[in-house]
Amino acid sequence: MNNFFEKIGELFSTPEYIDSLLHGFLLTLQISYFALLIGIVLGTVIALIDTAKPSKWLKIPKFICRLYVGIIRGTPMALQLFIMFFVIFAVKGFPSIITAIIAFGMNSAAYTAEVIRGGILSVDAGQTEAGLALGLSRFTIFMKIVAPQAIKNIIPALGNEIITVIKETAIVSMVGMYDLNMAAKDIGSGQNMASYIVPMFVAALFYLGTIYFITFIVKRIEKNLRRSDLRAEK
Amino acid sequence: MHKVRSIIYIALFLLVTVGMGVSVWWSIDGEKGADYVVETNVPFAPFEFYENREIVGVDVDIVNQVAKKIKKTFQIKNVEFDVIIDNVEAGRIADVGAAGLTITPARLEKVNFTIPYYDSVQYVIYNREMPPSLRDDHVVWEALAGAKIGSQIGSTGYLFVDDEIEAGALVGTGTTLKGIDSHQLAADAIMAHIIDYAVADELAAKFIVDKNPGLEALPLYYAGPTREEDYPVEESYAIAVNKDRPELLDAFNEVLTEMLTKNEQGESEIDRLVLKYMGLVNE
Repeated sequence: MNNFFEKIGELFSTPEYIDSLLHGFLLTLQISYFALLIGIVLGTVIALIDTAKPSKWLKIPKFICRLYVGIIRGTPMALQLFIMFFVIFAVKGFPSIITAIIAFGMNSAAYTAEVIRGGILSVDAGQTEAGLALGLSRFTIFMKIVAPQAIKNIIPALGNEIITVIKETAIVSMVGMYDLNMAAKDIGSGQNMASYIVPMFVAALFYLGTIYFITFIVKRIEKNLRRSDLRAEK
Repeated sequence: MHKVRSIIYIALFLLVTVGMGVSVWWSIDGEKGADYVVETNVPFAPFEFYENREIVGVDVDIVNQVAKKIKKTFQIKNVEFDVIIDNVEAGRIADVGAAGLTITPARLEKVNFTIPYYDSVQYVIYNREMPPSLRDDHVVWEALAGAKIGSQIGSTGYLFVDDEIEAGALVGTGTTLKGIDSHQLAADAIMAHIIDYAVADELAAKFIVDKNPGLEALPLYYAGPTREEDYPVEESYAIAVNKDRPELLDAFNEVLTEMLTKNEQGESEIDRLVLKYMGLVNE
């Protein structure tokens, strides 16, 4: 055990190790940031199509959306990443970071879509009916009545999804990308460590720090949105 | 007040997005534009390992010499060990596999191999406090009977153990084999009592044992009729080349022949590189 703390100290006092970890950390952030952007945009589109009023024009798009969400949620992320890398984007010279961003973005979109759909459905249909009875347009009803209430319900679950994506990007080391997890493996297999255990603990600290920061921000946003609620945390 | 806040948030969001975008752009910039792609699996010192996030090692030096010779550029990519042969066979994302690959009949059906450039033997890594029964300076297969053995999945050590369990010294002994991500992780698995022994290539095993005082490694032998007649589990490394790239195979063979030529001291360039990278990582 003494050895363990000695090695942690050694890891933090070696500039090359810190440099490797920070480079890995940057890749983790890059992939998760853009994947989440894609996920939120695409997920919103899917959720809107899915919750729209049924009509014959929307039959096929609705079917495609449900199929997409079903397939993505029904298969492991690791397999999706493999298929993206070795089948769909198996093109020489195609930058692997873009492949990874698309893979995680598409995965996140399916989950985000469900989160947003849940948020929209949580607003009672009677409110839409009331809006219609008052002669408001469907667009106005959505923007002014449904969306503001839905967002309040979406934010906590969306924060959950953000956290999941950040942690899940660790599997890109499987396809040889130098992310935080790979940096830990690299340090663990070289020069002075020759054990994965200590660098893995340090990488875990990095993830933990990031997630705490994200949680803090999400909580702030939540508090802001709920400031007029009875149940708001003061 | 509310407006100002929104504007600040939107500006912050755009700033972060643009900053991230630029950093992604930079990392992409360094990645494209190579004539050929070489796949490898890090870490496998001294043949390939990271040094300041660059892949270096004996295999990398061989590739660089070929690049210089045929005046083409090569991109070296780190992937999982067990996908290399398939990717080189398909030829869509990789042309060459340089990862201390051993020539086996099954692999020969899929890819072309260059001339062998390094001979290795298999080693058994074990916990110092729980050694298998030793025969002087080596371990025979029979000593591993009934144990939980681990090895890097897809590696020759893994294939050798699998062969022995299927039809060899370990048939019906209840020996189990676990595929593990890398040799290094297999060593950690011994310390965590997940497996009893790990089978790995000589240099990888020595490198790991050197850094872990709790571990020891000895060469693995097939049992002969007498102790003196035991013979080691040998293999030869070569570089895998896609079957549709004969020009690449020729170039690699030419360079390897040059690098394997012994000088007056009886030392080839490959030997020298192995020593150099072993020395470097042993600092």
